[in-house]
Amino acid sequence: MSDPRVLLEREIGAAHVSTLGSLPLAEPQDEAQACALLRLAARERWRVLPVGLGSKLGWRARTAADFALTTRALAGIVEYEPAEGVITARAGTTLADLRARTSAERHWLTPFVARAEHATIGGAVSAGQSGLDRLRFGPLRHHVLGVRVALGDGTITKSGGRLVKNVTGYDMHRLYAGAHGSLCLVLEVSLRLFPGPRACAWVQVPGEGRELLEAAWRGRIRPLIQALGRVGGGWELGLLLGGAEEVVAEELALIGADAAPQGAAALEAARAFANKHTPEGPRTRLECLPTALPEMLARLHAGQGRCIVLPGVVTAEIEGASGTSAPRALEQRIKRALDPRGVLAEA
Amino acid sequence: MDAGLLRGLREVLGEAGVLERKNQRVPYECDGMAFVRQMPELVLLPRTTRETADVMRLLDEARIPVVARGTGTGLSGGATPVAGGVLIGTSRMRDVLEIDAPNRFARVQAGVVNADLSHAVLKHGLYYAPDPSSQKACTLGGNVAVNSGGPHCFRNGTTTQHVLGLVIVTPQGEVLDLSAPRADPDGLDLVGLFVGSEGMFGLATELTLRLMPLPPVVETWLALFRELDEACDCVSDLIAARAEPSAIEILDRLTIEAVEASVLRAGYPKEAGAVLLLELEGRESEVAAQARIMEPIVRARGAFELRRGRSPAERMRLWAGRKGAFGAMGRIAPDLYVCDAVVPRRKLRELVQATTEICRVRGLKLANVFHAGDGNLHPNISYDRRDKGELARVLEAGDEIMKACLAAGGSLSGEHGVGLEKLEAMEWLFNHDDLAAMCRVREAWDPQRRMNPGKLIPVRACMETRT
Repeated sequence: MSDPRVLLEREIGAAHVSTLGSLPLAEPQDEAQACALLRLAARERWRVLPVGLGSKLGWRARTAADFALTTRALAGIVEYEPAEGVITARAGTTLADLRARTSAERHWLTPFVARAEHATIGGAVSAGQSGLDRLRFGPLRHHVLGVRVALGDGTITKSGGRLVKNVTGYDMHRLYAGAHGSLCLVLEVSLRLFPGPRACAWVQVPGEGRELLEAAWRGRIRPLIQALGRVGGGWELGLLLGGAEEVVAEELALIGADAAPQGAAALEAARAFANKHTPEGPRTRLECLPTALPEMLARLHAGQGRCIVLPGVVTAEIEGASGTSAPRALEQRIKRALDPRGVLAEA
Repeated sequence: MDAGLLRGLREVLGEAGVLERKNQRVPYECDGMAFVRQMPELVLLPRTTRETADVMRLLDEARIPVVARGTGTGLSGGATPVAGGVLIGTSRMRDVLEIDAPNRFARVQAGVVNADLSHAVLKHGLYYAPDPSSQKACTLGGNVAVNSGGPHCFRNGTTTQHVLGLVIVTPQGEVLDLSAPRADPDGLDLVGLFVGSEGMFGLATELTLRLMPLPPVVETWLALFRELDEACDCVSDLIAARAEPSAIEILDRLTIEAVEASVLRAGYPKEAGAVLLLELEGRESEVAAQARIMEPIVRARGAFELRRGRSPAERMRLWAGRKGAFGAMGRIAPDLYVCDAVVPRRKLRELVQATTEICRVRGLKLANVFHAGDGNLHPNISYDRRDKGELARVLEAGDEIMKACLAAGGSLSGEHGVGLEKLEAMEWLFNHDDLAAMCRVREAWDPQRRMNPGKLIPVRACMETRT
């Protein structure tokens, strides 16, 4: 086996090969280069670890790779017609950039995640990353309308489209969302956008906020964001209310929180809350049914490190690596079907 | 059919679960795409996941093709039997297995009728959101197969957003239990991949479905326009204004005339060239805020009358024309070809005009009833299937409509699926590599390609993946 770095530099130039941990990191400048690198890996029997900005590297135990391939130079918005409510962007575009572009047109981009400037859309889709707004809008994979991807052999294929409703062909994009780059390298993503709030307010209260969460579950308030963060010896609840001015005012009055920060300050507070509580690096996800939320909080309440809990089908993200459950035989067959030479590192 | 196999199938299903006589099999020879028919060799009606798995294993050993069927309301030929194959119907799998109201999900067997689930959970103040027009007849298993939509999918999303888990019987007769309600799966999203796979990956026997709380206020609007163009532009404007109604539907003049001439009369005035139906839901303040955004847009685009209703009786009256549209079209001609295509929502007027022209030059009667808010067109072409020349013109118009939608950035199907109907058209939208990737995933589930063979992916594309 030859040294990847030499051949990688020959393929895309030394200026675009750096280092990620112990691995050579190749940064293709366009899709053609990305596909050429995948073909090179197939020829050399190397294993490739696809990454965006690398913020999710600790999320899964991965098989060893020979080099990492970053999509960070494959960035930019391909199409955004505000009147359509759909945005198509290249994989390396950060969620922060997408949010800035779409919120200027009063669209809401889901997922609302911590440190969005370090998260690419390709990475978020590959990791199946839902945000603090999941209960209101649903998980990210529901809103991936279509993708263009490169398979392990460098073949580019597409699935879905740029339409809010479409059942033409299998939902391959649902398969790729959450596959952690084990089935393909995501090149381009089309996302559904939602109407942005005309007004918003941030409510943050100490404790488990049971009454507020109950009000949200019953629909008496409809927050854009609901999340619990662990603080020394307990919890704090963050809610971002949003909608028409009078709707937000009504909700604030209902929960007796009229002095809450509003507008840009509310969004800034939501970002700060997400950043404060969302684990960085290796993390473990736990899920339980909505009615088991109190037990989940009791169980996690004394732990160390960052921990964020999303209501709905309750998801807790805590610091520290978890063991990954063994893939089913069917998952292994799908992996072999799409990447028969095993070019992409398994998740 | 092999006598030993038949004996084995009867042992599993009992006499009532194996339909062998020709007169028993006739009802299964087509789905809603009635101009294509094929008699199945045998019809099997299992009652449980266990029975389904047992018969699938026997059929796998005998290498017999299998087509699954709910109530046959599909419109793309997805449940058309295959020659020499067996049809498995879900009509004896009609149990609601569990309702977990506090956690807002239900587990049901695949043969439960869509509307029956909402009815079953009504007492908990919940409902199942996807509402295809055939919801009083279609099964939830069929909905999963094609990822069905419906008017309220504009706000709530299509079936795939409401499926939390599945129990799948694989083509080999294994039971894959993915029924636990999950927010985000740890491994591959096999449930998400399965929804919309048109019965080609296996047979889902049990479904875990998300339930939603009934909104406190629902207000239906019926806006009357003189011209269809105005109604289309109004919808594009509503989307552009970030309005958030829960449903946005349009009926055109021929539909209005058919409705008014029928027993389903909805009281539309003669000068109405298009009806726009809107639904607003939420708390009082949310509905009021939406109304304030929407009403000026509806008026500015030329609505000459706006009827609003909140009580169940009023709302039912406003929806009557929409709900009765397909039945009323029976007055125009004996058969109806319901096209299904999607276009970008800012191009509604352009594409509706194009479909009108495509039908006009072929002398065909076109009525439009469609999910305008999702850009999901349903050009309905009336015809008489005994007139072979007319049927050929209808199918040609259907192809031309799809091509026009594709040229505008649209897609082949918004909710009916590809089935047999749009098989060839798949190659207009997807290239060989796109289709080959789909074939390979299918073969991971079903290496023998026995499940619903000949649907969704053109055979050519799949043959080549073998080389």
